[in-house]
Amino acid sequence: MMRIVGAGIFVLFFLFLACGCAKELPRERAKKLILPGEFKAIDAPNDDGNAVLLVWSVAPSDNVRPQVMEDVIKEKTKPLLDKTDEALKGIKRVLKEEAKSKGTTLSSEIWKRVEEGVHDAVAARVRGEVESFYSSAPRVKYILSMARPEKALRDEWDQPLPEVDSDKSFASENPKYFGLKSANEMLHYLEVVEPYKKLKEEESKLTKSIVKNNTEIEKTLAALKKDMNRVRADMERKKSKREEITAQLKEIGSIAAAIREVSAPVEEAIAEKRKRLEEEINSLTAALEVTSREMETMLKALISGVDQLTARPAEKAESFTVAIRELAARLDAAEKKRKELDQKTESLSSEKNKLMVQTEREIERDKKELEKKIESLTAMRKGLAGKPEVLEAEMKELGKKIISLTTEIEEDEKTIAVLEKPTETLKKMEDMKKEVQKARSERDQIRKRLKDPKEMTYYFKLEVTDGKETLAYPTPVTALPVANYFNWAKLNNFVLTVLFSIVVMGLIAYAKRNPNLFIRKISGLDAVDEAVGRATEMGKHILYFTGLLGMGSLSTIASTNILGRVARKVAQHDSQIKVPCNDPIVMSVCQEVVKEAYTSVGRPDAYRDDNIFFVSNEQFSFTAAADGMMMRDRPATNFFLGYFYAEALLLTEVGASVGAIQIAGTDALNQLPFFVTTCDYTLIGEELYAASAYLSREPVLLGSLKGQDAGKLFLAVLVIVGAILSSVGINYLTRLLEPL
Amino acid sequence: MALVKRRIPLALAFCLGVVFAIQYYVPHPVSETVLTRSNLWVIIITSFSIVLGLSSLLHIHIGKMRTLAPGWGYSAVLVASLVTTAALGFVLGKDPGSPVFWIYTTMYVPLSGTMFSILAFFIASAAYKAFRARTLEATILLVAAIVVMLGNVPIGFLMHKYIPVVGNWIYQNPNMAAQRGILLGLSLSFVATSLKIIFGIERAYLGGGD
Repeated sequence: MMRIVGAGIFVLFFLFLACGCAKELPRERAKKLILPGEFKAIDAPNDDGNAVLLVWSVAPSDNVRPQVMEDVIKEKTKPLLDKTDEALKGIKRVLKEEAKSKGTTLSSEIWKRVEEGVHDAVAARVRGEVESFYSSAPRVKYILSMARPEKALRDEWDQPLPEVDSDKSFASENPKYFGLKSANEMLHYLEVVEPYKKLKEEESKLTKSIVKNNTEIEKTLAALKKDMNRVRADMERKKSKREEITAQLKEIGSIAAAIREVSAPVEEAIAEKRKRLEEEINSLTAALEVTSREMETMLKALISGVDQLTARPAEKAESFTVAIRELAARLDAAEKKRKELDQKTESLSSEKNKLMVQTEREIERDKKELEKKIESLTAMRKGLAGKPEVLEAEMKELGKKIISLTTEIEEDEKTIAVLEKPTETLKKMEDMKKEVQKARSERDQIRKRLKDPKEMTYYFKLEVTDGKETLAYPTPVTALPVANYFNWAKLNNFVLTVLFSIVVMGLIAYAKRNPNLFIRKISGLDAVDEAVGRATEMGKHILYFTGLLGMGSLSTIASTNILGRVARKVAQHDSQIKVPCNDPIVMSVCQEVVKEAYTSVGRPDAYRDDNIFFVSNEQFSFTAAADGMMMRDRPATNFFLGYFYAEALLLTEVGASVGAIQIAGTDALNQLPFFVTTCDYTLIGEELYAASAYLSREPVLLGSLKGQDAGKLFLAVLVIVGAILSSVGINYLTRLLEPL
Repeated sequence: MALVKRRIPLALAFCLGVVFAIQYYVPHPVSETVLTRSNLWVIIITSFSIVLGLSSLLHIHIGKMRTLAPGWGYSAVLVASLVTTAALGFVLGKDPGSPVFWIYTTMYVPLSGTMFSILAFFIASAAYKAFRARTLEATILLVAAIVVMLGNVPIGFLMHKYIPVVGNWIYQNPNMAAQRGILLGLSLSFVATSLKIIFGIERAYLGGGD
């Protein structure tokens, strides 16, 4: 009976407690929307001005994430359990007294189970209430909208931004907005990039269209110009040819005239002389004929006298003889005269002939002179040099040519005129130009907007809604995105880099004045001589690997620096070095470095281009080839200096198995253990970068090592001080070195 | 020659070094464009450099085949594979289903996988060498390695619940401290080496050493 009463009391208490718990739940929060306390819009720092951050705090009516719900359950359960415990204590006391009065005892085991049961029931009830509250609570969403200044004034928010679920924590999902600082979970951050991006896209689109149209215009123009230039050039060529021919023609004409001028008086004189001589010859011939006739008459008279004499003998013989003598004398005189005339005629004829010959010679000489003159006047007129008739013929030919050329030129001029007239292409081009102009002005406007703070200021409005009710944030907020010229998050990095650079450069300058700087012993680099000497003694070559990265990697550059030093020693020892490469550019650099090294020690003849060769740019193909080389050739020494990945162990294990002395150096931390295990000497991290200075012992390079030491000392001090300060809760130094 | 081999490369190294050092601190669109374009140039130049590599490769291996040098058979296989794959790729493409794709998936990938799998045996061999407790340091290394290894497998927890904790502590504290120490030194070396290259103090990579 007592037990039933006790159980009844327990149930009543339990119900009472459960009702109390339910009362404690913040049910009213679900019923009412509450606006966030603060809403800001700020320029996203350290970007190129294309984003604005919207920041607002979490309002009490926001939905709560599951882990928060657990916290709420815990928070609500604990005071209820405390109250329950107090109530249970009272119940226990009552029950104990009641049991005592009835002469019985309260079972501790039963009481413990009752207590546990009540605790579990309270906890379950609280959980159930909280869960049902949060599951039934309306989902709160934030509505963001954006407007341009003029629209914001008119209260037109026509550019809606994506709705934001209050369940989402932008702070934790997008830590980039906060650098490495812990995100404030009580704030929402949303990056708004669209408006600016849209403008930028529009600008780039317009720029592209301008460029495209401009290119097309330029192409069309170039084609037209090309056509026109071709026609013009053709026309010019023809014109010049015509002018040339005209000039030639003129020249030929003048030459012909000169020839004519020279020939005319000579020919006139010849004709005149010929005429005179002919006249003289004619007169002489006439005189000769007269004389002949006289002689004939006299002969006839003589014959008749002879006949008379023959007929009248003796008496008239004397007179006849006298007459004969007279006639004979006259005959002799006539004969003499005829002979004289003959002689004179002959001399005149010979004179005429002489004159003719002379004149012809003179004409010939003049002609030759003129021909020479013609030849010397133009080289182009070789075929034209000759007699004036030939020149005339040539001139006629040239004239014809001039006519045809003139016709062609006229045609060309017509073509040019056609080309210059506004054709379809030109019209299209004009249209395109107009488009370009339009696009340019649009782009200029956009650019102006992008630069103008008034134009680029954005107005944002925040509203919160649960689907039934909507509350608007009282005032809109504004923000202006600005393109940054300096990333202030990297300010500490910049300052430290500048300081360190000054220290390094200062110590380099110091090293120039004081060259005997101490540098600690690096056994891996001391062993280079030994390794090269061993290869020489064994008559085997050395294998040198520069790692798997290209020339863009500092470790590869450091490796090529060391290669140069090693190659010098190899050349001095008259040994051979082989460099299998996995990057063609690295191969070219290595070839140059080794060649220079051989040349610098006076052994250019010993250098072989084939010893530095490309194998493969695939990691394991390269490894397989290199392992094969090691197994077949069994090199005396292997150098592994550079950045290595998984192939490090594959290479060094094979190298160790063939008994090569191995020197490795890398800044790949994951591969260091493998190198340490399998190689004879290992350069750890920074030693790889110190190697070049160590091997060369150049004061300038040693100075940079001292600079690094100073940097390390500074960092060591900073680490110790920072650790101490952090331990006592001062995080200033830690914050100072974090990205800002 | 000094102009081409020394002065121009040094001037280029200086100018580009300074420009890109500044670029790192400038988030302006112009700066970003410069970086993007330069990266494109690098990709283009790197692509063309494969011609250099191929010419070197063919020169070496055809030379071996011509002189019948030891191992010339391997060279013949290499040249034949190179020519066949390239020809098939040029003619039939390299999309899935093409002969080149088949060669890649059924020959190249298994061969690469085989090479990579050998690493497991080499790691075991290297571990054996490293863990031989000949000195105090090696013994410490051995003990630490055993604890870390056991901490990463269930049997470690079964042996003792603190083994994973100790293993994790070794990994997160002494190991991390050493790694960060090396990294700090490396970072300073990077800056110093970059400075030396930018200002032309380190010139050995140009050849000749000084």
